[in-house]
Amino acid sequence: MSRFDALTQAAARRVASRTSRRSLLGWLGRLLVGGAALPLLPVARIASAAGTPSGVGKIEDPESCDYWRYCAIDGFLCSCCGGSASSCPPGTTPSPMTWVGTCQNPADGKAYIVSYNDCCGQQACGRCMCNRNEGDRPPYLPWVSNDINWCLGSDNKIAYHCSTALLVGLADK
Amino acid sequence: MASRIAVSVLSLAFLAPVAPHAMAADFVAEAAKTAPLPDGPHRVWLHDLATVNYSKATLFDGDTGKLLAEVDTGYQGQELELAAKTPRFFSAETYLSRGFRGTRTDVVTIFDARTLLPTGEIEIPAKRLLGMPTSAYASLLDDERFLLAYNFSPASTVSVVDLERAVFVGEIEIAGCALIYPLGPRRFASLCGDGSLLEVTLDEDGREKARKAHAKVFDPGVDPLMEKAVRAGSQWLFVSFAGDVYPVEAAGAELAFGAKWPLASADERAAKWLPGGLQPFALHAASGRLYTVMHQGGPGSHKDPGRVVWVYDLAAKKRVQKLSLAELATSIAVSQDAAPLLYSAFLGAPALVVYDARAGSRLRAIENAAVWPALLQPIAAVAK
Amino acid sequence: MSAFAVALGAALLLAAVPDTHRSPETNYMLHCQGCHRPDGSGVPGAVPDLRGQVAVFLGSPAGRAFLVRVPGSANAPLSDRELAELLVWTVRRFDPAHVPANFAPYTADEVGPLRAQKLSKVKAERAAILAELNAGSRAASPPRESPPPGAAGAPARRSP
Repeated sequence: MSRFDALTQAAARRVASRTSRRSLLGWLGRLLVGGAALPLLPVARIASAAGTPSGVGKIEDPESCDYWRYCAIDGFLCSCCGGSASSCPPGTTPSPMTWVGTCQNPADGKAYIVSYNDCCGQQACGRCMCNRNEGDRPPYLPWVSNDINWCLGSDNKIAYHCSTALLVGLADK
Repeated sequence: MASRIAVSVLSLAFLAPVAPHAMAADFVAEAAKTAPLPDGPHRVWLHDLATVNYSKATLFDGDTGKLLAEVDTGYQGQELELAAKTPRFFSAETYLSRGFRGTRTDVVTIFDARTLLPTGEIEIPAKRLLGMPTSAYASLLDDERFLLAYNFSPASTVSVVDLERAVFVGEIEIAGCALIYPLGPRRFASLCGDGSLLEVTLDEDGREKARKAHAKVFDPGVDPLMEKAVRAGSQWLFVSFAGDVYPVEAAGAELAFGAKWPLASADERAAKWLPGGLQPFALHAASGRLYTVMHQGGPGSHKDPGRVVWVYDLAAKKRVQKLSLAELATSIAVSQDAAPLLYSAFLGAPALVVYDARAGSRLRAIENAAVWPALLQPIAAVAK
Repeated sequence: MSAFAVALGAALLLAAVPDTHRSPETNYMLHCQGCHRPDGSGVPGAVPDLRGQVAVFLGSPAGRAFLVRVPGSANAPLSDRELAELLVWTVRRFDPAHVPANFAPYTADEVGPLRAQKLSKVKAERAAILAELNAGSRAASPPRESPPPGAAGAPARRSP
């Protein structure tokens, strides 16, 4: 392997290890799974941190933390883990219990109720960590608390793997 | 054993062709042993959430930057419950019988604080709340006889463990409320979803003796309280999402709810300065200083990292300092000695950064301190 | 603190107290389905199944109050009127067979004071109400008290 390739490989490994860390309102930006691009420096994100996601193009991308459904998500995106925003990866089980968020769909401007059912029974996916907290509250208001490991009802499948974001209704009806 | 090996080695030396360097006649082979735990006033436990694995806590020396030791804390572990009266600490833990599958067992593990070895465990109902590291998920009551762990199944209950008799005593229902804020040797408080605070008193055996709901302590619909609070002596300081401090005084027979006071001025609020993070508040007890991580943000930013720490004189309820951090922080803690250090960590970066807590100067960064740095727990020197 | 600062503080937050009035279906999905599930089935041993059971509580005054006083109801970020409507919708949607013929729908005036008596100990109250309903009526079949996992008599945990 040439020296250039070895350096690139090393850089890619550093990026991959950083992709498993928290992205708080996008602080670590667009995390590319296994990609060679480096994450955005936090400085660039500070400017856009006032609650609005940067990267407008990503608001429709289920593998991006900016995806509109993820406004109250906390965890790894199942879309990056063999599932999708609405399905669990093979080998995992959807949690029966969950927290909800209310997120605005840019396509129609409507507020949707999003149910963040976790996928359970395997160790954490580790890819595409995303945490956004619109409407999140502490555990004394559990139905809107995303800190909780919601795999708790899954018949001993407490190990948390990733989170989905199911649309279960319109919030303003 | 060592001397026999030494003799054998010496014998071989005579039999072998001349070696490049001769063995010293008094050579003694090393025997495997465990290093003693270094003491020091600036040691700090850092929890590694490390979600892809079972969690652990790592002890660092804030002065030298050295990693001193580690302990394992099970699946999605929480803080170490540090005893002050005995050389022990405890950890409310969860294990699955096949790693990430299998039967779940929850235990309170007892550690010897000098050797860091587990010395025993007490099984508790396998329903403790698992989630982001938060101090109030479990607590020792003040005389360290009882350890309480908050359960969410999703029924809200509290498991009571008698550490003296090493038994699980029972569960106390706290429906509609959550988490544990110790108020004394036999009292604790929980925060409730209707804005009340539930005060529970235990008897000598750790069973519920009385409970009292204090209504309308806060308004969860207008300005919820963060569950991340700090204790200043007999007083709990809760901070709301908008940055108001709500003091709860537990010294008397009755809880006293002091007037709230703001962390930020009206102008600063207009500029969207808010507290936020995973462990945003720290206290230096001797000087009566409250440290808060602040950021600028809107609704939903209560877990955002900050790059500034505001410091308050608690007696005067006034800010006395603004510290600038070189790195983002989601967690801070302060050592309790006379030359305190401010420890800072960010969930999104592996370093533990050390500052002079009074001057605010950045002293060092300890690299690769954790994969997911979560809670910080400074511990004092053992030797005075 | 000045009223201005207070107002700012409030404005800084997504207020959970609604000034919009949502339908009971929407409120159920927002505040209940996370544990009781969209179909009301709950989670065995952890969350009560509402289907075929929840309206049984309407059979006694204490039971009727219970549905308001459980923290899930009492603490929900709903106006008294919305909570009343949600409870009426819930009993009819998930357990129509047990809704009494002379059922008087909950009203905001009834719900308000009951919420102030939120229960922090639910199990004992629920058991007492069911015992009373059991004793009082042979025609109704009150809900089984399913034991939580780990309690004596609970099903053994299955191996992976």
